[in-house]
Amino acid sequence: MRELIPGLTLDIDTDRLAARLAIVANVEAVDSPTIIAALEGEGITRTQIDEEAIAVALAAARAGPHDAEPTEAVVARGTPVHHGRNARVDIEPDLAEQLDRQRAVLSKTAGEAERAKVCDEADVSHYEVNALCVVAPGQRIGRELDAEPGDDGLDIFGKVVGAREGREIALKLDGAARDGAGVITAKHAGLLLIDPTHVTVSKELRLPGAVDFTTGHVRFPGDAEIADGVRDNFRVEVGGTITVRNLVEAATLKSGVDIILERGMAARNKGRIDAGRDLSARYLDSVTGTVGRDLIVENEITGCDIAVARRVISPKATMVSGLIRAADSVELAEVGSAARAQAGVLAGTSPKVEQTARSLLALAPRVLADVAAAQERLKTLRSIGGKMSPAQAEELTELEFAVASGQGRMEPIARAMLRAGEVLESCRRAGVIVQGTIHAGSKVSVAGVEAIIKRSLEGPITVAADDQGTALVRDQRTGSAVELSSVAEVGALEGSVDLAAVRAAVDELSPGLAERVEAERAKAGKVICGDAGAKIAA
Amino acid sequence: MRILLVDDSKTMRNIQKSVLSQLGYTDIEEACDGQDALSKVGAYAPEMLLVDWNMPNMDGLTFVKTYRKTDKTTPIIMVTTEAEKSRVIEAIKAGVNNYVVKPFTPDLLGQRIRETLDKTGAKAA
Repeated sequence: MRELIPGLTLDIDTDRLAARLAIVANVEAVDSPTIIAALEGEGITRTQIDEEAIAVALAAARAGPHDAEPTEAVVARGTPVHHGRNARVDIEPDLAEQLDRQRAVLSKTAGEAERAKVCDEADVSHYEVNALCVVAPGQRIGRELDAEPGDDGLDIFGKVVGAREGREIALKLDGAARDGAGVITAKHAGLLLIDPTHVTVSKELRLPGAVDFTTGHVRFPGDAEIADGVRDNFRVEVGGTITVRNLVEAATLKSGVDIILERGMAARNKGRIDAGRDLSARYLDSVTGTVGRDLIVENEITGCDIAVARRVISPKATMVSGLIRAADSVELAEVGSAARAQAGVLAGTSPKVEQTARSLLALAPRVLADVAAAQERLKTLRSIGGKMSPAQAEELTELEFAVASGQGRMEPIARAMLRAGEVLESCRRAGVIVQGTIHAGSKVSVAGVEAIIKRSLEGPITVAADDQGTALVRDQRTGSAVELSSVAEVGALEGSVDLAAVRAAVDELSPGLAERVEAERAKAGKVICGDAGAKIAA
Repeated sequence: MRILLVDDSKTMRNIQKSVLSQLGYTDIEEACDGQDALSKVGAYAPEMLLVDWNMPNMDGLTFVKTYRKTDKTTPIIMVTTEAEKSRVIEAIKAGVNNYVVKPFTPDLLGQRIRETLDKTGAKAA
């Protein structure tokens, strides 16, 4: 700020877009033309000078008392520059908001405070923060906007301030498509990631931190990789594979494919795992859940209750306590403990198939009885001579239908029973392989029998049924075998279906079905059934 | 294909529905007598009808005669206990395309339905 003429000071903005004049009160010897001339003398162009503002300010200063504050006015104005805008994506408003939250959660550099802000800003339960921007197939993401040119500016000294032109950008789309109008939509479900040159719908989610209050529950259609752990009470539900690099606490994990826990899970009997395919972990503690294919544990399984749809492949792992049920074979290093912790290993159990077989076994006699009763009544009605009454005619029609419908149900029921029986028979050949020790008190189940081991057995041993269905304990080094009943208290496994009864029911419902099915399969060139115990037998 | 079943017996309608479903026809509407059927044909526009003869309010024959005043082509199968030749002729004169006498087996009903559709050139399921 400096004195322009006595009683008037001039202040020019650093961007040279405005000049401010302060006029002391009651100034007499100055008029507008003098001020304008003085401003021009400073280099300010005439066209940028606001003559009206000068006149108003001067009048105000003259009118005021002697001791009044100086009157200030903007007496010259430049034209601001408007820079152009680069080509960009005009993101849908709800997605833009979601992307802001997501940036903090996915950023490796974002601090705890920034992540916590996401959580604090959420107006829902912290578990339902929904910090990820997940889009559905076909969902509109936004519209591609062309680059915009800029408008030059002019400062108060008449100098042109050049505008930056907006640049066109070759926007790359991955997992997204654009139409002729530049509207961008997701090609498939996934995580939306946007930077100035890319729009990506990723089938992979990589969380740099933990699943906790900053992320809320994670629900994602693809694979999820979590660099840290999963905290208590949080849920991770994904369509693909879940990989967790650190500890999983009492959380819930559900995957469409595999679950890989690089450390392990301490679920404290509250957490749950449901893996669509394999579950692998270093250790599992107090976990309940299901595994769609194989369970692979490196070190220890304690206090778990897990149903495995195929095998347990954990030759170096100790199962200290808990219960594992597998449809196929189970291989462990050690079962139970010297302290006689309750450890149960059930190989060749398929609760769903057993349940199906039980239901069908209960259904078969009812269907047979219904058909027989309808046939008997039909016979009686047909034997009545004379003209049939309308009521009798209708009853006969109903009975004909009951017989036809009952007979129509017999074959599918018999086929379902045959298949269930085959699966169970295959399961019954599965065994338990223990490389180290099966401790006394441990429960082992194979071939539809349940055994409580009376004295500790040293491995490597295999517990499996022979061709006659007798459960044996075989020493893998010497090949010698003893009956399981000689080293354990043996009884029938509760809920185990009698396969002979299944075969008999199939024959009664559809005589010769087994042979017909065999022939159909031979014709189709199909393998008849899996052989779960083949490897063990070998 | 839209099929209207007109029978006062729910059991008989269920039997007919089951047979039709096995033949691949699942778009089925039901009426419990002739009057009920007349109130439904306008909106439902059936492409085939299975009609019982003896029903309360309006019997099957009266329904067929009334219906044929406005629709002469949609195939109608009479499903009934009336087996006398004169009755069959009466029904055919009224505009019935085929005839199933109770008691019938599911196979027979299926056969009559197929026959009728073949003869009338109605579309298959």
